[in-house]
Amino acid sequence: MTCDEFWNQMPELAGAAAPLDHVQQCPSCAQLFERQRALSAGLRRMARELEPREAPPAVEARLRNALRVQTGGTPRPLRRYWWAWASAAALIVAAFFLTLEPRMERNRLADSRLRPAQSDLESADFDPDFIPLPFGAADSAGWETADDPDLVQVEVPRSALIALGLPVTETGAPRVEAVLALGSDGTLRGIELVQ
Amino acid sequence: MRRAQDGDEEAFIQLYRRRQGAIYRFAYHMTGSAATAEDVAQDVFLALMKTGGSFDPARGSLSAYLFGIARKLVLRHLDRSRYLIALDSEGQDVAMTRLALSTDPMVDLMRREGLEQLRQAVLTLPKRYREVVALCDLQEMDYVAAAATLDCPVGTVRSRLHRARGLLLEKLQKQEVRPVGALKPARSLI
Repeated sequence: MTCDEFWNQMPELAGAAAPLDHVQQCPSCAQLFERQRALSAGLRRMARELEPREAPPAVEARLRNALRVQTGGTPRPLRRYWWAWASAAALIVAAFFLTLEPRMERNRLADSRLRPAQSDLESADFDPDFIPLPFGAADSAGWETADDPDLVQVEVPRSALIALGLPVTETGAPRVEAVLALGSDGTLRGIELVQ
Repeated sequence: MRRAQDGDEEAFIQLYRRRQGAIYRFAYHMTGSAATAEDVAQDVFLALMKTGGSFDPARGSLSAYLFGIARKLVLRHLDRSRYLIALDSEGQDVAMTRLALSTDPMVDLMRREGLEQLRQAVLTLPKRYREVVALCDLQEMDYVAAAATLDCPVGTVRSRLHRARGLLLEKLQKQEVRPVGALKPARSLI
């Protein structure tokens, strides 16, 4: 077998089945064949070193989202957990009212001095219209036309509404159903008390 | 695969988890870039999500189908970034020479520095040779599967691999015998 015939059999790809008769007789081919073996070992080691590498977890998350968008079968989290969002909104509103209580109480007292007719409102059971918030603020006028508000239905503690000075009777269920109007920037713009 | 095609999210994710590693590593071996490998891995499965219905088991394995998509994406990336690769190659030549000055690269192949030198040599192979090395040597894919992935005869895979091995040895040999004076001079910024 000549050197060309030997290499034409691609012995470096034959593994254990490589024809080795020629290399035992040809030192130059034996040297080159040994280099080929070292190269094969190097490539195997390179493959092993990189074996743990894989795509980061973010890829799987992006694929999940893409699949959900494509199938359209999985509800969006906002719809699936609507009750959680509503509860959270109620808590936020309650906290908002309670933190404003001292200031709003002062406003209410001042308003009652300036506008005695306010007591008439308090005697009513519920006001059917949206009430702009912050209550009594100068820039609250025209809130309905400022942007297209999102409406969220919640339950608010009656005591918080009373503390705010909203027209709610002191008797009745401890929680009052209300519809909140949220501006496009997420701020609370108005509230409607539902009878 | 059928459940994944029907939109079963968990089935699709299980399929992804089983296959993504090999696809990612193939793209990494071909481009040398982890960011590109990530993009390719993602795009392969996005393509499967959208065109999975076109997969026909009678025409080949799912593995060959996925590697086929990955290969097209990798080649498109390499074509788009030819200019960047040319600049990188110049830098790699210098780096490889520096690494090879003191030792025989063939002996050194079992050491970390030697493997880095080999990795750089693989990245400078022409694409048609690089992909057979990436598939057959680095992914340990058999020649039949590689032929299906590359859409060519098995004999072509073997001959390209034979040629690729020869080119790799030449590249490593050049680094071995290149004298110090052959180093490219450092560019002056002044």
